[in-house]
Amino acid sequence: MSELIAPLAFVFIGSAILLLLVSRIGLPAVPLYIVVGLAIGEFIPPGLTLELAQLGIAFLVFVFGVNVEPERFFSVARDSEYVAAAQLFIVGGATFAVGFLLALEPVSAAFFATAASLSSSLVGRKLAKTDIRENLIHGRLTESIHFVQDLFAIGIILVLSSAVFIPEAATTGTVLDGVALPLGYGVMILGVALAIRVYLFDFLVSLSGDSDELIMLTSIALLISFLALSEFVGVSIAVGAFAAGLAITRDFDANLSLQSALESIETFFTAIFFVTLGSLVAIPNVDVVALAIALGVSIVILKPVVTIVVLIREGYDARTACLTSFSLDQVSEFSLILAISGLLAGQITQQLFEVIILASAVTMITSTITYQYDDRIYRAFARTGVFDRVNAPNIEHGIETAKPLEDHVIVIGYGKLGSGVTAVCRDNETTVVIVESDPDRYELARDFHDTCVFGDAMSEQTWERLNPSAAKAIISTSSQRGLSSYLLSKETDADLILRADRIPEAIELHNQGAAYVTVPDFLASEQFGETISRLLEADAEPTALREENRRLLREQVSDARIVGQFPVDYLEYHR
Amino acid sequence: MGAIGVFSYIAARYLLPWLFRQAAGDRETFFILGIAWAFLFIFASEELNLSIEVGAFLAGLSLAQVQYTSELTERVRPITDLFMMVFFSSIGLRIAADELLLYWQEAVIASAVLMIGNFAIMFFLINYEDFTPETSFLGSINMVQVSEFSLVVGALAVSQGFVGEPILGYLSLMAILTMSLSTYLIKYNHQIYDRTKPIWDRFDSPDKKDVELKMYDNHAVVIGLDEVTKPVLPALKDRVGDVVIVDRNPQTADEFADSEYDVIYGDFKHSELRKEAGLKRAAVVLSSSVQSEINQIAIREANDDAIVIVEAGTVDQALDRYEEGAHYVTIPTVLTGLKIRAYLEEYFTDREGFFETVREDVKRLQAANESGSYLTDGGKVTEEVNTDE
Repeated sequence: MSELIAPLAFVFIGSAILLLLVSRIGLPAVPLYIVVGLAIGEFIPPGLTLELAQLGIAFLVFVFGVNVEPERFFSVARDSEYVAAAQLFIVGGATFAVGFLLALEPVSAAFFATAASLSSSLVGRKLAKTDIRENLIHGRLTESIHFVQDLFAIGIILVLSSAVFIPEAATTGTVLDGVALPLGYGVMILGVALAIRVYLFDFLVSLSGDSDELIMLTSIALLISFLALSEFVGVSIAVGAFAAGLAITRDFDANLSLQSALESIETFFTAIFFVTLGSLVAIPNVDVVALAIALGVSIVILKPVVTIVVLIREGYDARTACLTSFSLDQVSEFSLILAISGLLAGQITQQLFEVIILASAVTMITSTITYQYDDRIYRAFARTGVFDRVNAPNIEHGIETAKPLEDHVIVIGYGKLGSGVTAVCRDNETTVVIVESDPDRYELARDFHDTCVFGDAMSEQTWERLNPSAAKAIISTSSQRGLSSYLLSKETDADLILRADRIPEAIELHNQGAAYVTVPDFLASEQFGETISRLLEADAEPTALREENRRLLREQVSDARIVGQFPVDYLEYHR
Repeated sequence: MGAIGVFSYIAARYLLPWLFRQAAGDRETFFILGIAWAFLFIFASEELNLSIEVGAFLAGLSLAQVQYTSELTERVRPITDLFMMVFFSSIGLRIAADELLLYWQEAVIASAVLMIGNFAIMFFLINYEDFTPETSFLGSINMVQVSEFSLVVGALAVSQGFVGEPILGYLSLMAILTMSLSTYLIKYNHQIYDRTKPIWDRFDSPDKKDVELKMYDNHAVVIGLDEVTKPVLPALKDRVGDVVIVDRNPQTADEFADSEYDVIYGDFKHSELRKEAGLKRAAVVLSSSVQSEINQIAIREANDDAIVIVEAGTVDQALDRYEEGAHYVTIPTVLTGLKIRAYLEEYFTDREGFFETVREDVKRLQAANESGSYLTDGGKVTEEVNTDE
């Protein structure tokens, strides 16, 4: 134990200092940990760090496994599986070829290619946090592509690690046996995990009573059992850890406490894993740097290009495709897990290992930069007209009206507010053009209105179709600051009604020329206050209040002319 | 060790509050900082050849002085549990069965002496402080077990060579005996008291009374503050009484530090924080989070008579919350939609009138902004999923 104290102290003190220093910039933690590792490598004895890193892998993959819900897979995956698969095969294939040309062994080239093709969800999700929270379409895409890729990663780990543990099979020529046997065991372990998930886990939870501590320890015990099982049958512990995570459902009453417990454990081991990873890199020589550059180029340039093309072909507009790709241009933490297992099993050289670590630290940081300037980069490319040539083959971009648009209202976004605004405009016999970049919402809008344009309101292509110079008003229901500024910069006589989530921003936009800026929370608070006062003073039974409020909700939704929220009868009403 | 203690004290006064304020906005940094602080002390103690246990304790002592302690405790607890399991199992692994039972007669006698003696001493002490016999009884019967720290000390003594493994076995056996017995004593403490009441009544006298600790009751619990819920705080205070705010946003804690509202900094997901806020005894529970999981907990754990008000992002979610028992589910966008509809109707029928209305509205916005009664930036930390536009 005591020999662990000094390394752990370095790991955490170093990380805390660096995290505090950059907390204002908003860099994701993972590359910072790697940088800390590079700096303190001297102080950490190598044998020990490998042990620590293994533990880190086990816990990280375990936590990922817990968050995977097989039941929801199909609803989440949809388009993303194509994008993730295309990325994997095109980028992976190309990088494999490059690796081969750079005289890497086939197995090494496979590791090299995996590092290029998979993206990091730990970094990507942190970067796109706001976009995901605001449910912007590229945020959602980022999240689901990462998710699908992580599942691919588990599969790749299963396959590659099968080869890892039976190296002699490769030399004797019975490669198939060497891979097939552990692969079979791996699948069996996953099967056991699913069986526990379905039949046993609820029982285990009921045994733990209400104790948060017992539920957490039960989970840890499952993890340890699966790790032991995978060691015993000779598959990667990453597979065992993933299976253990899979055995745990998130669908029980006390799951919040388990989730927050796992969050702490994840943070703890994320720091340990990535710092140790960084500490394993010596001062790089020329070869390492050259290979790392090759890897970096394919991640920073090739991968975004492939993603953009595939997304546009899937029917997304150019801006969404660009923004999504800028949160995918880094090395995945799973590639690092793979690299370290490869290193431990002697499958890849120390040199290749250093290449992958170096490239991941660099790309995780550059990814932060491309993400921060994503809109500007997109605009720069859009001006060259490059996107005009890659148009989606299978989606209409909007239906033109017979007569040219005039004295119309442009409504940006067809969410709750957008649908209400549209209905009110039409009640007042005004022509409305809806701009929407989310395919689902676009479909919904198309159900009710003829004049809809699919595309990003900030792309020139879209903008030209709206005939803004003749518009009466432009109403934006998105609170994206960039969009508001973009609209304000346009030359038009139309009244501009924008949306902001914060009051200071609203005042600023108003001063810059917006006719009005809605702040939803501010507008809602007044009504909310009235309702609360009524509730607190009411003498009625709580259950009666409940029924009354439930009924009111339906009325309010239809009064606000919002569509797509209640089931079919409501849709009919609005048609 | 003295120097470390002094450093710990000074840091708790001047350095830590500032450090944690920097980190409180980011969950990861906050947590890593806490762990790093512990390791700083452990490492320093080890380098100076001092006890790392005492070093760790001093680190914890200084952390306890920071206003964010309860959240940090909850965040670190899973790690503690994990290592506690490892630690106690490792003690078990170190002791062979025969070593555990080598001094079994002594252990049984010592356990009996300890349990009875501990009870008697505690009862005498609490009674001496003029608490009621019931309090003295319950307080003492809950303390008749060996502390886990005796095992820590025992393990330390073995590693330093002061005592042999059998002594650790003897300590462990005592721990097993007293801890398991006391589990049942604590579980049935009220029943035991009722059965043996006549004995304890002899200690009663008119000037004995229990000091009431401040405990929230029939109060309002507000989960997370946003621009929708913040303006209703005065109404809550007015009509309900105590208002406790649980919020993950450090700005909220700072803003309300000297106000009439109590703020608990931390994540509502932690059951200890919910206990601290007295969720189960609240008369009104108001959540500004749209996270289904948070609201489900609030609905489930709130008292049956409590009025539960939550936010939802979509109508589907809102209907689910009603189904689960919420009394009012608000969807801010719907409320906003109503307002915007009115504005737009005016815009189409009376454009000048619209601009007049809007001017008034902007004035109110400006007033709200200047009075600072609204969060200005980074407000809704509580909200992770916002299923809206």
